[in-house]
Amino acid sequence: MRNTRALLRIIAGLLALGCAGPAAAQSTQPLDRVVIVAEDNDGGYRTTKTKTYAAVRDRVIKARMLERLRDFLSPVRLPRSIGVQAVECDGDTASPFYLSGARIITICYQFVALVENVTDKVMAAIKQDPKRYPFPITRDEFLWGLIGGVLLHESGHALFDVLDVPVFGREEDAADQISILVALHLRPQLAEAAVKSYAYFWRSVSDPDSAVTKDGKLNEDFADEHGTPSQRLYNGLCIGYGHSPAVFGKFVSAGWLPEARAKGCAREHARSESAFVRTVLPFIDTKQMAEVQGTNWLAANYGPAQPAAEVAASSAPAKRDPAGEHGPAGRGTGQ
Amino acid sequence: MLETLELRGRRGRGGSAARLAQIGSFLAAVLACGISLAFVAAAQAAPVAAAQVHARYEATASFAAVRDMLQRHKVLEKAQVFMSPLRLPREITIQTTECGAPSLPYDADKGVITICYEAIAGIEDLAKGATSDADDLTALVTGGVIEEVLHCMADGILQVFDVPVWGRERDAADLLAAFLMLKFDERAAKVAIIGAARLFGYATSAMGKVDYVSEVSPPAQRFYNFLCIAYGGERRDFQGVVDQGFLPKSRAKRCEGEYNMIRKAFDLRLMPHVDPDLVVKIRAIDWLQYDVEKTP
Repeated sequence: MRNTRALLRIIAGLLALGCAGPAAAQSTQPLDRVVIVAEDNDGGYRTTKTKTYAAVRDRVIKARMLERLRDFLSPVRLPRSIGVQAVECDGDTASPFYLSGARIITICYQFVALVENVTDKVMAAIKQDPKRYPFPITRDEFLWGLIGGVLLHESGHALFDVLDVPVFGREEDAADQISILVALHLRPQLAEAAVKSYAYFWRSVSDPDSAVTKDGKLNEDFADEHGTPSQRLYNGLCIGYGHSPAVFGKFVSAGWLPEARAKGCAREHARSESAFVRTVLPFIDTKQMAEVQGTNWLAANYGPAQPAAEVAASSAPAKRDPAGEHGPAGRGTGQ
Repeated sequence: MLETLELRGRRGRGGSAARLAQIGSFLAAVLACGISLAFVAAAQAAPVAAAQVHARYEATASFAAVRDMLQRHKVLEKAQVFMSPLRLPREITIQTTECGAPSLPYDADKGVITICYEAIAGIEDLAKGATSDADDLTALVTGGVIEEVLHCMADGILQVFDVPVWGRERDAADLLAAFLMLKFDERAAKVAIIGAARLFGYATSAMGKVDYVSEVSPPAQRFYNFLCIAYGGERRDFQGVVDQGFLPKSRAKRCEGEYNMIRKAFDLRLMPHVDPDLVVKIRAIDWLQYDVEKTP
């Protein structure tokens, strides 16, 4: 009798985990593909440990950042769900990161504060010397272009992981590629904002002084799995220019993308777009994708109104696994 | 510093004199094992070179010595054998030629993989500038030539099989080359990886200014990429590159993931084009002593 009860408890537990056997396998319920990972009814936006980031958290909630990311990724038929959450990160960590084991994208409040700070500096630089910049850009375009680009970069890592995408090159470059490629297919204003903000940001960050240190050793900055700021600038511009030379040709004529590199950009773009079409697009609902592409993600009321505290699921984030963690900024933001 | 990048596993840190002694002992071991460009003849069972891969050493006036060296060591014939497990969709040619440039991309129309005499000459010059020790020179040139051939081969293979490539193409060719090097036995893998990495290190010093515009990663990044794949794939063999500080721990902790990424990509997109029985034969070859003439 005791054994029977124990067995029933196990079966009940399995059912609760969704392991209900054939009946569940035939379920027509759509999978929650991107889940906001909530704790204590916080809507996925963890309370801050310090007062420093409390105001940032409020702005992130007001912007409905997690809901936007979830909705943006909704056309992808993920075979396994991924989680998103906003957290005041530990230590010096500022960049958002994706943990492959837990399958969670974490947005650090420090990152948002950092981008706000960078936005002020870059906008001031543009105001001081506007001719140096090939295109005008608004503060919102820069701020949200940069935040959106970084979140797409992290989403790229998540897609590579969950979709088992074969990545032969460096994964960080691949994540930059998918971020730019996806942005290029949004409404023209958003596509241009994404490329401009990406370019203006990486142009504002310095490269390592030299590949060799004064004592003759290799500069360990080059050991970073990310490219250097200039490499990321040229890589991103090359994909943008390769996709739309008429739109982004000004980056070439203004010298931001050297001719020597620009001449191969159509091919570079075609190769990466082909990789997207063959390894990621088959997982995308094209009808939903068209809706996402047509949405003005910069608008305050970008889509169907939903309460910010909406909770899709509740599960504690796994302990950080540094080896499975991907952050986009690397040295560029002083990480 | 780079001279101390040696091929042993975990060791204690020592001064430069101690490190030089380590190099000496390594080189002695290399000699004892018969590692040299002469590739001491050894009778080994090996697969017959694939018929669909043609080899061609183009004539050259400017790089005659380079051509002779490559031909003498039957570099292209060995490349043919190495590629023999591939079920190629078309005939291809692997050639050495005078390019007028350090490298030429795979010619998809003609199906030609090209190794430039200029690149091999550059490897020899770099190695000669780095060491005056004849055996060390041999090890460096061997590693450099293997890297150049495998890089060009990898670039061609990715295109022949129309493989979708995420990330930069030339990095993909590098990472695939490093992955393939680890399929050699331990000694050959070390000669190839360490030799290539050391040359990237010397090239960094020789080049001075970093070219950030190029679609090819600067040698300093290639240095770390090769060591990372090696450490990630065969930690026991390459623990020394972390212990001795050549590969920073901040990168090293990610290397197993980086290796697994390229392995997964290889398994998904290239392994279906590979004859597994022939791979076993290829992997059984002692490449540092392999004499292609003795192939039955």
